[in-house]
Amino acid sequence: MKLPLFKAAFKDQQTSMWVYVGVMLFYGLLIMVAFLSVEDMLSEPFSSVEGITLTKIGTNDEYDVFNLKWETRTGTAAHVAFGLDLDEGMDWANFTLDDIEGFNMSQVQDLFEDHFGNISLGEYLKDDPMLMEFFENYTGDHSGNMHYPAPIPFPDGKSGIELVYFGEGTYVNFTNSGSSLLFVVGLIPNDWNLSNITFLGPVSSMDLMQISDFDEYLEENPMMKAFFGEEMISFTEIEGFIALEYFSMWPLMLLIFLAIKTGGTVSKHVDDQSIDILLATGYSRFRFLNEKMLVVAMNLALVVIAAWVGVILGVFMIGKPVPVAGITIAFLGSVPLAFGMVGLSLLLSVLIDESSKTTGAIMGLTIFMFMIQIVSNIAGWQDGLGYISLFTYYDMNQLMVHRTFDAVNIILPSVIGMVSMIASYILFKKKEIHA
Amino acid sequence: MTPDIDPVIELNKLTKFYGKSRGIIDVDLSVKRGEVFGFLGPNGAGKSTAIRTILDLIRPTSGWARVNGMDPTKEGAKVRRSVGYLPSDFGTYKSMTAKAYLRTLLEMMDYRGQDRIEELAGRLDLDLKRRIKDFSRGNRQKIGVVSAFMHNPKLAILDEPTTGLDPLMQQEFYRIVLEEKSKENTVFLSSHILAEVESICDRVGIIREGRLIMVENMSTFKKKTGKVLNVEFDRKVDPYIFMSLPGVSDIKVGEENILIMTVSSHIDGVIKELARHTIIDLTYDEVSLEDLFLKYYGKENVSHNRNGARGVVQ
Repeated sequence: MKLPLFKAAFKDQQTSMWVYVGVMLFYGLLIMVAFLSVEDMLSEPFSSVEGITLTKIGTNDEYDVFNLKWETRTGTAAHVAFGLDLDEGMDWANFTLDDIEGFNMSQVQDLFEDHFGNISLGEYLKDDPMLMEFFENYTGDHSGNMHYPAPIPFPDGKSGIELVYFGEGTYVNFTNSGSSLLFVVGLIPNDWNLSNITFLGPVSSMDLMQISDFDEYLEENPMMKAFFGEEMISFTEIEGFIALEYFSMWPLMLLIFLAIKTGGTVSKHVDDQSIDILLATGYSRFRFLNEKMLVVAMNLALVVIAAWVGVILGVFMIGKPVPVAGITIAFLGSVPLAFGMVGLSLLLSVLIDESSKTTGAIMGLTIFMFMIQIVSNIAGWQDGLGYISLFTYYDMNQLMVHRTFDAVNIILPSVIGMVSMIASYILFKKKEIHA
Repeated sequence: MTPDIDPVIELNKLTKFYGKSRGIIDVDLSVKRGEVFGFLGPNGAGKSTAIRTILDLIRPTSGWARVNGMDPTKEGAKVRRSVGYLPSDFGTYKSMTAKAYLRTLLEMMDYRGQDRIEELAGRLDLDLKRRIKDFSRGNRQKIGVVSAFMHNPKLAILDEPTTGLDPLMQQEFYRIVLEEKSKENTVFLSSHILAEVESICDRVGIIREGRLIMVENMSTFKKKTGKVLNVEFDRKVDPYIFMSLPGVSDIKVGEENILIMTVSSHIDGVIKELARHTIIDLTYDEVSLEDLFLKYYGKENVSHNRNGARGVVQ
């Protein structure tokens, strides 16, 4: 089947299309390099004082996983690491351990005793290697070190202390399930006199919290939540990062591209009067639109493929496992959205004869729908006003992270696309083409 | 298909209004096979409206048209395929070369015969290898002319075809049209230039304010219109001397010693009379369309036409 109009129209528009294809390829690569920076930022020890360093090494469910590392000294029998949960509004600059409410060694002892009965920790550990072994087994630290896994809030509820580690090792990896803000390590002297413990620290998780609790920040910030979507996902995992940083913007990038590409389908030819000679060849209006729509479809396919390759290559380049399925599904999930946009753009292109006005109207509509989505997310109008925005029908988290399609998100934009496309064909068939 | 029984173009009370604005009103016309028909009228008179209605680019408000026996409102694409059409103004795919563009149009026409692209481009001095965006207005018009004839249509509909063409190319264009006629093909062209229509058309229809006010054979038409003879004498000459001569239909006394007379035939008598005087200067021109209207329809109507027509018809 010969498609001369398709070939001519595709060729005519190809420069802008290849530019967009290049941009999408490049953007995918670039955003993944940005992920490395985020990761670097998170893996840098953010808090380090003499002899002790706290580093974030990942996340486990919704909690951060830290590495706490310290230097030991001669004459040290064992190390005990505490996490401290503090009141807000403290004077951090002049903070000392004495400022921690309830932090005194008797309470530390109480803490141990809560779990090991009314037995002096010092006595036990000093005299009973078996207990030491038990302690190790109980905490199950693979490194042979031990950490105490559960947060222990103090009864007053305001501030608290939790045991993070006890043993002879010089580091611990732990899940900060108690959300402690400060960490200290006590070096227990050989005589096990707990009043002579030397403390290292404190190191703070405050700075890191501000970055790693981005998800929490989103949850608390409706504007950001509206922008990034209803369901929060981890920013620091590659999938979450791609969903947040790439696919939150992808619908806007795609729809603007389609607005530009589809807007001129009819109006450009009416405006510059090229449609006269094209139709004079004996092309029916139906065939004219078919081949012009094929150009849009080809543009869409090439840009989506370029974007897909860009992201996949980007993840591959930074040496991370590539979530191919998630990325593919997230791109496929944008196709109904694209179809909806193409239908609406075509309709405006048929209705408005001046191509600059058509493009303006379509861009205006796109931005309007984007704003509607944000506003309805903030106000919780997703099931009301939100329905009129195509952007509502794109859930990056569901697609990218959960890898599932929502029927509504496929059907509704497809129906919008189908109805407006049928209307466009009918109106174009009836349209009077003025000189 | 004989011309009398089945005209190539037939319009019956064809009327088009744009809302309340007049396009064309009750146009009745029949164009025979093998003739060159000139559709003459000032800008905004409704020429393009009639042509666009014939080609189903716009739809009639009432009345009907037949082109090659087909109803454009039902078989628009077929009608357009059966003709060669040159719009009054048109855009193209500017990034393409002229040749690529014309080849695309041929492919769209699904034309498989011997095309005339190279031949016509050669005659019109059109560089086919250049990109269209580098073309002047005149060169782009040549592309339109080639596109209208390249596929050997039996009927060509040309809307102001010589716009932008230089005089040499206009002459070449006239030759192309006359060749079409010799091949018994039909050419329907619109123009606002009387001389153009007179030089190539067999028949002329004058459209004014949307109405077809006159259809004539060219020989009859020429007799009616005549030409304007503008003579400057060395002294005042009595206009009544010329008024009485055969073929002189109108005479005016101009500034200085100038006489302006319309001569429709029998120029011989006028020249012999002129020879008896001392002539400083002399021009012999076509009647302008405006003068033609002035002659037939009075001054008031002409000025009304000029103002009233502006911007009404697209």
